[in-house]
Amino acid sequence: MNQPSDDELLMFHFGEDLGPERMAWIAAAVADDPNTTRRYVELRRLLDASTTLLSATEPGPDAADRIWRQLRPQLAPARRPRPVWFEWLLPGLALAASIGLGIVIGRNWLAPTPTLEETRLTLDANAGDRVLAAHLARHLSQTERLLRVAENGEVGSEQLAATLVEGNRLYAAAATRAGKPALAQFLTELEPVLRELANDDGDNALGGAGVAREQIRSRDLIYRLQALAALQSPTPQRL
Amino acid sequence: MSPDSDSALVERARCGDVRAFQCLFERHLRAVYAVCLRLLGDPALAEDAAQEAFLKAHRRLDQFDGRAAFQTWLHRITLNTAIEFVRRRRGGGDFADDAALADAHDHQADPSVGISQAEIVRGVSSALQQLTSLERSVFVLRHLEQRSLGEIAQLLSSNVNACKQAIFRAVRKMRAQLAHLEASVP
Repeated sequence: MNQPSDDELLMFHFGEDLGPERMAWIAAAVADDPNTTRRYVELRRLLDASTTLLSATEPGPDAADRIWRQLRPQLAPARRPRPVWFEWLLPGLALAASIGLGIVIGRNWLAPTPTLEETRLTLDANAGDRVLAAHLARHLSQTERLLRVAENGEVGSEQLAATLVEGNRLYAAAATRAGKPALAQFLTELEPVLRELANDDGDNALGGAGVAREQIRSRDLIYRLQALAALQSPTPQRL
Repeated sequence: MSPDSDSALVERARCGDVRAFQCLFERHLRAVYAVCLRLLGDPALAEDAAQEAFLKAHRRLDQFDGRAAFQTWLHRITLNTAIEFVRRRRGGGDFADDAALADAHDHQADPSVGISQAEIVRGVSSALQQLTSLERSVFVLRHLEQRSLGEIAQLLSSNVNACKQAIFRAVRKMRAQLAHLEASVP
């Protein structure tokens, strides 16, 4: 009967994979062949002896002191264990960064989707502008008509002029608040003319309609007023 | 967790208590030294490796999570440290002579059944002194640490066949030593 080699017996003993058939053949040889059995017993005795020898490994009598003396100066204070929250710090920062990045991307690359509240505020702001524009347009229209009447030397518009003076001051202030300095300046410039017309008593020597008519012509007030009225039309433009 | 349990001592050592770490050192030195000496076969080197293993353990105390016993955790560090020492010796050329040494001692032997166990121990002891670093470390890792040849090859940055041949040579040397003893018995 063929016998397994010493190396094969060793691998068999250690359970290293030699293939199932070869392992079965060696196991049978160890069990049935007296010579293989003897060799395997010797191998076991040899390995047991090495175990005994290798297990008897006591350090020398002074070894512990010697090793500790050399080790002790190298022992820096151990790092304290990290608190539990520290383990969440990094994931937390990553999450915050992701959210921040998402917000930036959303604001810069995606079409803005205003909230209901934002939409309402925008509509409110636009509605306020539209109301002001409508009243202003009517005021400018009435003022233009007044100026034309005054330029033509017609009389009897004092009451309208008095009404427009009050309104003109309010619209000038509103134009200033709305950031329309050109309009505000024009309305401010218009106020003395309206006051002259409101105070007209028929005596040109004291001013009144005559003075107003002169200013209307010299300053080209009707034309400038028309231009401003056009700029206050449905597509508002900043002056 | 009793006040002097390994876990309690580890906790104190983590907080900078050197005395607690010294207790761990004294408690586990024998086991650590044994692993180092088995693998290295040189008492002076084994002391150096043991010192290195305890130093690494101290530096990594905050990584010990208590899932395994401290002894198991320390054993793993020790084994890796000792293997590093084996590699260093190998890098220093100690393993380079493996083949020549192997040839010099590679005698097939067939020890007699009649040889006593005491003589076997003496012969194996002598043989162990003659093993190269590679032969010794592979033999210890396979026989005592129960590592597979694949694992050993990975640990020693070698290959399975080289490890297999190293362990074959180690056992042959032991057999040869026993044959020599047998021949000297009247």
